[in-house]
Amino acid sequence: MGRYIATRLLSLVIVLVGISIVAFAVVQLVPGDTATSLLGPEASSADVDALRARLGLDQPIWVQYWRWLSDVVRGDLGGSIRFGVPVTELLGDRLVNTLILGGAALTIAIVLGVTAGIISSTRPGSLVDRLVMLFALFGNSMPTFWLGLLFISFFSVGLGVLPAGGIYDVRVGPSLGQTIEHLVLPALTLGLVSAGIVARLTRSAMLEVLGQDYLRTARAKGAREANVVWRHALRNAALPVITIIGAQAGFLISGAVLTETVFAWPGLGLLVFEAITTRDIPVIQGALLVSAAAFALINLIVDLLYTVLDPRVTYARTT
Amino acid sequence: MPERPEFDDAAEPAFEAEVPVVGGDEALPERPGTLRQLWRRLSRDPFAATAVVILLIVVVAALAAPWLAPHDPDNVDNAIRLSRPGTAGYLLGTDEIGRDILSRLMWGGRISLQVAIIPTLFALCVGTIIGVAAGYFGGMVDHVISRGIDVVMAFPYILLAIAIAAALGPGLLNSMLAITAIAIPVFARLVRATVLSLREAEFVQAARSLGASNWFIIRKHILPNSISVLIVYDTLQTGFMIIASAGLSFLGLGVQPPTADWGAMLAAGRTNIAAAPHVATIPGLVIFVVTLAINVVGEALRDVLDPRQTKDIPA
Repeated sequence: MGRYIATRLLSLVIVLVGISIVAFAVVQLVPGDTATSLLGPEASSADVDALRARLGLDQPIWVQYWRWLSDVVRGDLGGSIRFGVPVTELLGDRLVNTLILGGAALTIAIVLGVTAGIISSTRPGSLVDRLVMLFALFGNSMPTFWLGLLFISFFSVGLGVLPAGGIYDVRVGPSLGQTIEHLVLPALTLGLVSAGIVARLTRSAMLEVLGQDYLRTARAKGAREANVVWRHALRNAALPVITIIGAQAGFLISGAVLTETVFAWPGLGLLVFEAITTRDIPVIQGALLVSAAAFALINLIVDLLYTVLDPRVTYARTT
Repeated sequence: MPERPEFDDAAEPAFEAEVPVVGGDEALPERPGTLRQLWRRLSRDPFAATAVVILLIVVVAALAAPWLAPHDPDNVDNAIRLSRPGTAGYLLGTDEIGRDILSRLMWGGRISLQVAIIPTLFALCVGTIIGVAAGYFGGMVDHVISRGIDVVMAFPYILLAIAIAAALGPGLLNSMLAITAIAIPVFARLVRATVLSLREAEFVQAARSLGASNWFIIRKHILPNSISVLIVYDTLQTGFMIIASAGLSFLGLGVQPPTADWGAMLAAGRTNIAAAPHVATIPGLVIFVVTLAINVVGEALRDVLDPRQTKDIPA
């Protein structure tokens, strides 16, 4: 167990280093010279060279990377071009809001998706099963930004029951009630799309388990069907289902960028959208780095959960 | 197209008695051709058949836009701005500056389909090279490539595409590059897994023991046997790419105005969602229906070309 955790932590470090290299490389894609663009086209070449030296841009690329990385490790992600404040400061609040939205959406996806997947797996080929599969197919093909717009058009503009965007009404001020009210539509948008995928994969995992001999034995011994499904089958299908949920975390972070833009939910996604329009690359880089690191951590937690849920995994995965 | 290699059907009856085939592919004495199987699958499944028809219509409408589009897609006419669908001469209505939505959808389809299809094919080629290298050669090569794939796939995909596209600057080519970058590891991982399973197959071992070169084995054995899986996942990935590229375009990172594409049309229509919801919802509906159709066709293809994966639909 200890050895497994150590191996897994080591691979996390490798992935994190890789993530930092990619995030650093992305900024190198920006065309043109940073010093020239900061000083403007009128600047003399001596001034440009001086600034380049001051920013360390005349150093070899790996030295620049090392300097940047040591800043990042100390929590310094640079400054926002647009807001003129440290990127870390901007990301903090926004990250919390994205986690609220992602958490709510994940809850919807799990409750709805896992339930639908289990129900349809117990009655393969039935009408319910077909409906669930159709729902899954829709979820897989649905652009979140369009579903969000449909919700706004129907619930906010048409019925006028839910707010169309933001995190609170400026006339009322921020409060828990306001947050929840404003959370409903974006969380549903993101959660429903994800629920389709979760339902489909849960169904496959359950179908695989339901065909196993030990379930036939349980039935032969006279166990009630509900008991067989919920106690025996679900526990054994838990591993693949948890994998799915872990993978959905990445999907939710991605989906959040677009959903937050549609609903003006002040999370990381909206911040990235605002950064695109002003080409505030340090902010985009910071958001990229933070969300990838968060995703990697979630996957670590999922992998460690395996060992708790299924002791066999320890031996199988240490290689 | 020869779909399955001979080794699959080589089950001798004498062996069958001793070694029962466990849940293997249908070892039928006669296998209908791939195209015929596909045709049979489509004619039995009205859902899949409809999907094919929809895709054909969309592709033809996009290709023939210069001849079929009723209006100039960029023709501004403020007198008829935000006309409802069904207005005489404007079947799907007009947008916020009076441009014909149907014409823009047709012209936009040229861009939207291109942004999904070209990067998918390009990623497929690059991903195949990387995946074959990792899976076939194994060892250190595999180790380095696999860690690289892990790293790129550790990023939330849209965010990585956004970062690349934003760094390069908005535009059609840059958004295509960004989309390609996020798709390459998906294919590389898939091809690696397929190659790993083939590498130790008896017919590959046989070729190797006969002195065949690596290049020969890859060309004559590994690639032909991976092709059906690749066709299936290329199709399914295209559906995903339609959404991803529309997403980039929705955020303003795709083609720039006044050129139309579906994602940008949807984004532009957002401001009038209360007064004229059709301006945003129609392009969104097109993105959804096209993606849905591609996914349905992809699944039909999977049933025919990669039967091992068909666990979802019980007999």
